[in-house]
Amino acid sequence: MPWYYAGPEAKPVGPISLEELHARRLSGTILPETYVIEHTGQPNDSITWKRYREVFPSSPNLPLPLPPPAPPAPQRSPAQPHPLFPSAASVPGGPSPSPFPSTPRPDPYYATRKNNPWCIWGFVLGLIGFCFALVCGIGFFSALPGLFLCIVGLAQVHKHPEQAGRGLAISGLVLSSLGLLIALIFFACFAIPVIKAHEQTTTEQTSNDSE
Amino acid sequence: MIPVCQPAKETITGPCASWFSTRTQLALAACACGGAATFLYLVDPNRHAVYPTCLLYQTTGIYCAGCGATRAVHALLHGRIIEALHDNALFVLALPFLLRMAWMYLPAAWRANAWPDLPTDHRKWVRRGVGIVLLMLGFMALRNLPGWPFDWLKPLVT
Repeated sequence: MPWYYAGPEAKPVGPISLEELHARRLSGTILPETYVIEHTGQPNDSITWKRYREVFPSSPNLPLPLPPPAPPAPQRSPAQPHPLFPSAASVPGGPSPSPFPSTPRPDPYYATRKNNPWCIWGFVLGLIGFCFALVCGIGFFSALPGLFLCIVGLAQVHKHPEQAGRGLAISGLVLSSLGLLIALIFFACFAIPVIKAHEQTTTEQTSNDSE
Repeated sequence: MIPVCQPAKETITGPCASWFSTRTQLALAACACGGAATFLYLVDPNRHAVYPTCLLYQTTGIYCAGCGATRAVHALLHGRIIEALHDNALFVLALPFLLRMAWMYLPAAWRANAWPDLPTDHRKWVRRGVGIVLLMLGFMALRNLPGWPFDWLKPLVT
């Protein structure tokens, strides 16, 4: 059973057997999010790549992949404090003296994920519109296109799950909506003279009627 | 024949990627800024009523956070810093930070002829935006209060 998975830069790696696929899942080469495909060369084969967790929904029983072995820390004598964080080493029994968190294992597929540009621009315009909404309401002219771009970006990210930027688009959507709301309060002041004039005419009419 | 990994085949097109190159966009923005600065230098907002007035101030008499910014730019271009501070203190104090941000991003964008990739931690920018808006709200509340120290925050209307 030849299986393939998306390796670095989304290049297909394979063919490998199903056992080998599970073994690479266990070793952490393949993540639940990694795209895999079964391809036997038959014409009726599926040509859609699916995520590992979609193809093997029961695989959560598998043990989690082991964390990568910590890089060999340079051996220092315990009396010598860390050059950057002298206080960290001096605490006996405290947290580990290494101030650097263990870097997450690079995902062969998701390392190449890029933010959808519609999401990026929508977020930027929404942020600018939110910040400038209180400045005479001019943020309106940035928040309105920002809202549009964020909606398009959300739709694109939903359609293409391999693109990042969902969080960006949601943040941009919220920011541009808030900016639009604030700016519309400003623009609602347009209505005040109209309402006042209307009230005046109605009071005049009622006074005329009473006479 | 191994099927091509479909997700990798997708090309990402931006909203305005093909209209102008980034350098053209930057040049157009620089021209617009230069033109606006020249106009602001030549035409005094205190004398000529050619500039649009803030709707909120026009109808309710409440100063918004940006009211007086046009006068402040005019005063700054003529080198009158105290008058600019009087017109819109928040804008004048924020100007160095705005210029620093432009200095950080725009030359890099010009050199690479591409907009710099957004920092992955966009939550930081959301927090900054909320902070800026809260600052503006506070400034707006202060400058609309009556009395001596708050009069200093109101724009000079001559």
